[in-house]
Amino acid sequence: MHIPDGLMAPEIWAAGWVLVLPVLAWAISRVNKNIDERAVPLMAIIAAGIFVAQMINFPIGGGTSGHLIGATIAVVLLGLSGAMVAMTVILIIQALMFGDGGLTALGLNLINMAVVAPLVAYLVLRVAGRKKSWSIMTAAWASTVAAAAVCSLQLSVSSSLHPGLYGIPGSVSFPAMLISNAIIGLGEAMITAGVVMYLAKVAPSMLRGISKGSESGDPGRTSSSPSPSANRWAVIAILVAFVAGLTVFYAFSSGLPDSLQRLMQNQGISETGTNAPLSYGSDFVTSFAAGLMSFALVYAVCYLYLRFVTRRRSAGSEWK
Amino acid sequence: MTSFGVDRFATRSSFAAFDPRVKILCTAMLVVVMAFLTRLGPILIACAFVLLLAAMSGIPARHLLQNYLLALVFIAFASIATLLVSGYAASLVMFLRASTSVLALLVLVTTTPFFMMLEALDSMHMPRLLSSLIMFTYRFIFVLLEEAQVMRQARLARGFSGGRHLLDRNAFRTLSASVGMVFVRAQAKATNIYDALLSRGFTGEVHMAWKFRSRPRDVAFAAAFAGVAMLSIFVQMGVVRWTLTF
Repeated sequence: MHIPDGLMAPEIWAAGWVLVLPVLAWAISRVNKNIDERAVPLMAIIAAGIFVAQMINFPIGGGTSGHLIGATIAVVLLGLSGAMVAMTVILIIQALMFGDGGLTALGLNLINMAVVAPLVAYLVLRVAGRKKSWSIMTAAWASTVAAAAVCSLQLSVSSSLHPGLYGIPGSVSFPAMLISNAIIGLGEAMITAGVVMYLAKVAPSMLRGISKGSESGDPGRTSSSPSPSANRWAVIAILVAFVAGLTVFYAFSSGLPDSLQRLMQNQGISETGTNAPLSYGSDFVTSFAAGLMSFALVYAVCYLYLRFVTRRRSAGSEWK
Repeated sequence: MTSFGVDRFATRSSFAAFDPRVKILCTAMLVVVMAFLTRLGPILIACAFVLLLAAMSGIPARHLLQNYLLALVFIAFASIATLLVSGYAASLVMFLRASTSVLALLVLVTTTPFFMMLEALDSMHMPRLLSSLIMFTYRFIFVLLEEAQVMRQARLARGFSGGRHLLDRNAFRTLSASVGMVFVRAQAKATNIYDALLSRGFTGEVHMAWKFRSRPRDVAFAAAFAGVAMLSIFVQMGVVRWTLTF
């Protein structure tokens, strides 16, 4: 998901930098305040661990493989602000070591993988509790898909600002990014939960966090005991966030014909073929409903799958 | 530490001894200018310049190509989408602009040792927490990569083949345990390394054995970048007419 230079519209990557800098400043000042000097190498080694974990491929099927983003592991081990800083460090090293992810696009890459992904993971863990493997799975899946959704949004807005010059039209970027990352997210979910459960068994001290004393400043770290209904809240929170995003997306995108439609108009081609049973429609309400239904469907499938995988996992002491 | 060879071309390249601050600023300027180019002519100028730069740097083309392939997935995705929606001319512009930007960044990162780059960023007032974290992380990555390599060998020796699909529970259990173990070993190492640093008088500041100096050749380097950037902008804006119209 590392966006290279030259793809995004200048307004978009400039906005990316403008938006991400204050968030990072907040995260850095918070980490500076909350951890003692000794935790810096520990934070670094967790960042390095995530960097290395990103290089381990997991199988998806059909000969393809995916790899971790690792934002959820970072949130569990370092808390929200620590995770943001660690992911920032990883992205800077990837850009400056491998040229993976561009310089102008670094702001956007930071937003997707160092701000949105940890934030979504944190929110899900906050609501669902961070000691159950399935809530960790949900957090990991949601963070991957949310990062992909924001990335698609950036690509599609770039494309609608300058059709044909920058970005990828939403009609292509959203399905391609969301479907592939919904699948990759399953692998991320299983590995993340596996890693956290493994650490709970082998090195529980690592899960106690890095902040000095018992500051509850970073709530990702506090051991709030989740109530059974908290899981439902997580689902609702994700749905609400998605609906809000979808509304904004359709509100901005419904005005003009997209580039493909314009091209077809210019060439005098009209859309033919049979109508789908659930057509997108042309007005805001039908397309919104179609978007919502497809998300609910994907979510339900992934949810059931994750439940199925979790059910058979061996139960740890308090980590289950 | 050099076993993975990230910096292996940095010291041999003909741009190795150039001031890294100048290199970073020049590359950033070129990439920013390129992001505004929307016509084929100016993009070809920048592309020719970056290709010349890559050839002069003495980095094997194979190495650049391998790293370029990392970004190619995204570039190909965007170019094909543009090809289908807006035609081949727009697609070519998109492909060349992104590829040239990636190549320019690759020339920068391959010809500059990482710690020099970090020191240069430090001199540009990057927050101290970030720069010391980057330094530690970078150093630890190679330690952990070696551990991961050993663990990979151990997995292979025990008949693990990487698994086939998302329902392969054993594969995922093994991979999770491997990743988890990377963290456990990492933590033990971090404590040792930090203690070793403290015992050698580490106070959080790192002093490098070199000092940055801009020489005339750095000025020439910057002038070449600035010239190409300006030429591209002028051609883009139509101030300079291209004899072959694109």
